[in-house]
Amino acid sequence: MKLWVKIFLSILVLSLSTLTISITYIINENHIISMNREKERDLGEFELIATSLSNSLDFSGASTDTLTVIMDRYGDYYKSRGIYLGLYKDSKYVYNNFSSVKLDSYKKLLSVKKKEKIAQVIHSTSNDYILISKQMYDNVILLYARDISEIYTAKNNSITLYSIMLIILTCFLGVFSYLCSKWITRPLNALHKGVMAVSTGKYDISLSEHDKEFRDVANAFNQMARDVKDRTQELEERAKELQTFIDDLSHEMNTPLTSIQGYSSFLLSANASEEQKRTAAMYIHSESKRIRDMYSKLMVLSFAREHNIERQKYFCEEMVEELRQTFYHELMNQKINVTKEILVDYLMVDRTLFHMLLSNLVKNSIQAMDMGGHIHIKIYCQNNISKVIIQDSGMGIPEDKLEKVTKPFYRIDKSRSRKTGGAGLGLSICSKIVALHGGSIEILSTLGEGTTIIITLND
Amino acid sequence: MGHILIVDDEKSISDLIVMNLTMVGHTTEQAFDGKEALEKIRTEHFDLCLLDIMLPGKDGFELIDDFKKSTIPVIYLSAKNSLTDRVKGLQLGAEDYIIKPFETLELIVRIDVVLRREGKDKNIFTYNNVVVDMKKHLVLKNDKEIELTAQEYSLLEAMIQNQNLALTREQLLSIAWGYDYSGETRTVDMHIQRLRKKLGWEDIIKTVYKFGYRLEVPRT
Repeated sequence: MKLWVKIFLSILVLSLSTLTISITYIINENHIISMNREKERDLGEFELIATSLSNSLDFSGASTDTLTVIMDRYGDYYKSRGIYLGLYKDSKYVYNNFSSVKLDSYKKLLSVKKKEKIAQVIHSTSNDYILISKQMYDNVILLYARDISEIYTAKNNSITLYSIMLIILTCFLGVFSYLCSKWITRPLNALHKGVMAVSTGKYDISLSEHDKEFRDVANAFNQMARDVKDRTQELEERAKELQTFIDDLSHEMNTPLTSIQGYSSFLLSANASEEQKRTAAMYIHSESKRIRDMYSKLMVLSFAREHNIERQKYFCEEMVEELRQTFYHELMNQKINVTKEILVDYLMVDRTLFHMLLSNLVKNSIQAMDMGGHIHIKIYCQNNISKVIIQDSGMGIPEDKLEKVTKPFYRIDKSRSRKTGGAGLGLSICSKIVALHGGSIEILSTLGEGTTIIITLND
Repeated sequence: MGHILIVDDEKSISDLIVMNLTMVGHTTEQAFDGKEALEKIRTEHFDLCLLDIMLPGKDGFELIDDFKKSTIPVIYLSAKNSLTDRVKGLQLGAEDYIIKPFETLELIVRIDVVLRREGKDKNIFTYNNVVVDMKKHLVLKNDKEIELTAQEYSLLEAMIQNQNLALTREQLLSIAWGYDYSGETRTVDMHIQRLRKKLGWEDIIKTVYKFGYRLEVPRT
């Protein structure tokens, strides 16, 4: 059952039953009160008649005829006031003017004991009476009766009136509680629509917040929808990135594998000359080395991704000196001049990773220069922000390719980087390392003039 | 045999193809990008071009129009293995589409198929006093016809097409007779023996230890 139906039925049943119980109670109470009042009144009247009768005649001595004459007089007088009288002597009636009531229905009243009174309400076919009896003298019983039908009629009228009222009220209450339950459950409907929309992927839904009590729920829901949207987008982007990475990786692996497979099968099957055999072996060697290099770089990349960095003091002088050592031969052979400008003593970084970062960048710079040229390394700190700048006078990067250089496997010049054995992972590793240090990397370049790399670290 | 242009920016792969095609008697030229390839077809005639798709500059899909203008049949040779790429390649008018990594044998067979379709295959193979006319399915020794069974002839043709490259018994079975024959590779041995005897080729049909057989012809 829907919530609004439950609320609707609850309101209706509760209000109708409360109403019915209370009105029934009131009608009954009223009826009992008026009955008691009538009884009091009748008892008083009866006592008056009995006293007056006792005074005017002697029950013990009077003959039946005398009794009849006296009773006749009283009877006629009281009949005009709606009161009927009867007198019984030795279980036979001497006088009775309420013949419309059958004897059987008030037989009990005739068994009244000496000096006692019995009052009873009896219902005949059309009318209702209150009857009172009293033994006036030995075996002489006075009976009193009055029609009280109007009290019952009044009660029945009240019941009819109330029934009509109840039907009308039911209609009104029905409409009211329907509207009421709909109004109460309106936020739930809105929420339901919202949830359905989110579950079908429409994250842009926003619940209105004009309802005061509903505002918190609506706010929370809207927040949730936004979060779900963001999270979903993030996941989609990540999946896409991963797919691209896997596609690129499989392509990168494909070429050396094709070579290795082809040359080894050539060695196995061909009627080859010694020179051809040597060429084939050389290619197998260099291509398998290419795969191994790629593998070790990928390991670094995945290491850098999961590694928790250990920040240590890394003295800048030491940093530059280590780079000079690493590339000693290349710098000598290509006659490259390295200058430094160090304005801060040390950086708090992960030594291993930071050395890897800088040597990747310097290696790129060296490869961008054929013969001669220079590399300038500047390290400084300003407003708690450290910057490492590596500037070279190499060939530079075309403007339209600047954005892509940090993507895995991206190479500006495929044939050139193959000669130097690059897999296109260097800058990708660099940006990962910088990101691990909570910094950012910026690449500025002018084609033919050189490239400047700015690493910003927030301390 | 054919004169084939190989357009691939990967030198190792290009060299590998050159080595294999030279072995079986084709002549080759290499180009490492589209520009170089276009220069080559302007000055020289080729029977076939093996074209990579991912090339620096103009890619393989863009280059095919120029090859079609020069009526050079093209076989794509690419690591792009998606159905859309393959369909696109064939719709653009390539004769075939070979996915890297490829088997050398497959490459040679597919090249032969295209050359034969274009009528550019060499029909006559000569060694000493033996002439094999592959158009007429005729084998002459000292101008006298030699009777070969259909199976022996197919085997001979397969070995000529893959000359200087050893073929396993299984490969010979599937190329020559066109079915996967996993059981009786001894059948191949029997037919080889008979071919050697009938043609007097005991010296050039070599048994390659633990591999198969190779038809060795001196290369020029």
